[in-house]
Amino acid sequence: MRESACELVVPDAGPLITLAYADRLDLLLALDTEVVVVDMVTVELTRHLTPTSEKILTFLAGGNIRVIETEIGKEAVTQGSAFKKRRAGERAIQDFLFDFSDETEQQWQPRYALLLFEDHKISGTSFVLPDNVYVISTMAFLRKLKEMRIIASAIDVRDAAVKAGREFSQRDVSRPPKGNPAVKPL
Amino acid sequence: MSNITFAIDDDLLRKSKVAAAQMDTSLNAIVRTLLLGFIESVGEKGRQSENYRKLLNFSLGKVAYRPLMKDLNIDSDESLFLMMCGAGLPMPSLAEEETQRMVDIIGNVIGA
Repeated sequence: MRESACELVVPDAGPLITLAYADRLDLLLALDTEVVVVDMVTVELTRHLTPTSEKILTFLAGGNIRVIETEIGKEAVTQGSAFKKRRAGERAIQDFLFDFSDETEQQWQPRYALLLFEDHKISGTSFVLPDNVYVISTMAFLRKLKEMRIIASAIDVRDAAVKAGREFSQRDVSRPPKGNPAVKPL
Repeated sequence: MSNITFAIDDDLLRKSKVAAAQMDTSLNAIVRTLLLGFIESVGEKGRQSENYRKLLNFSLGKVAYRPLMKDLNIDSDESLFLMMCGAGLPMPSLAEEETQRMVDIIGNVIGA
């Protein structure tokens, strides 16, 4: 038995989207860690029906993932489509971090959390992290899996996601987003 | 004709060489073709696509995620991912040293 506990925390939909397009959501369960998802992620996935949202929600409902409730997440569920708070995802992460810190103080066992984000989100994060919480990228996660010989190549997983994404992407790129006529199509 | 030197990830270089060989062409020819496509997309005045330029700046790390989302008037990560896929641009990535530091952290934390 390990002398410490580690949670792989998915606080953002980005890694789920990438892994869903690569059809490798199962990799989230590949490490010897508990996998938890912050509730605002499921709220967002439910709100935006996308090519992968159903696949991700089915995976999350599979019984291997724990969804962590946060105050703002509960508020979002209660209010439904009327919920409009800005940066709710970030506030949910901060809620999680407060709770994680409190819970850690009450445990005898060393406890760690790895917060999984896409690369481009990491540079914009400004959370105050406790000493036992670390931010990691999806690519670092995949590279570790490669190092452990769980997958053959991290880049192959990423490329599989991009390849699958291209099949859905043409419409999105060639149309200007609604409400922004200044943005011209490719 | 000029010769240029640039850094490229080992795995990407290996896969590019294999892909070029499969198409019975050279890596040189592939790079030249891709650069011509790039010029077509953003290089010529009057033919510039605003979407492409914004996405390219994001890919290069010159524009952050949040301003880009606002600028493109999109509010889901998946829309952004699909736009980047459609534009044939990679998502911005952290520096190699930073990624390796994270790989090491994972190893230390999980004891593997």
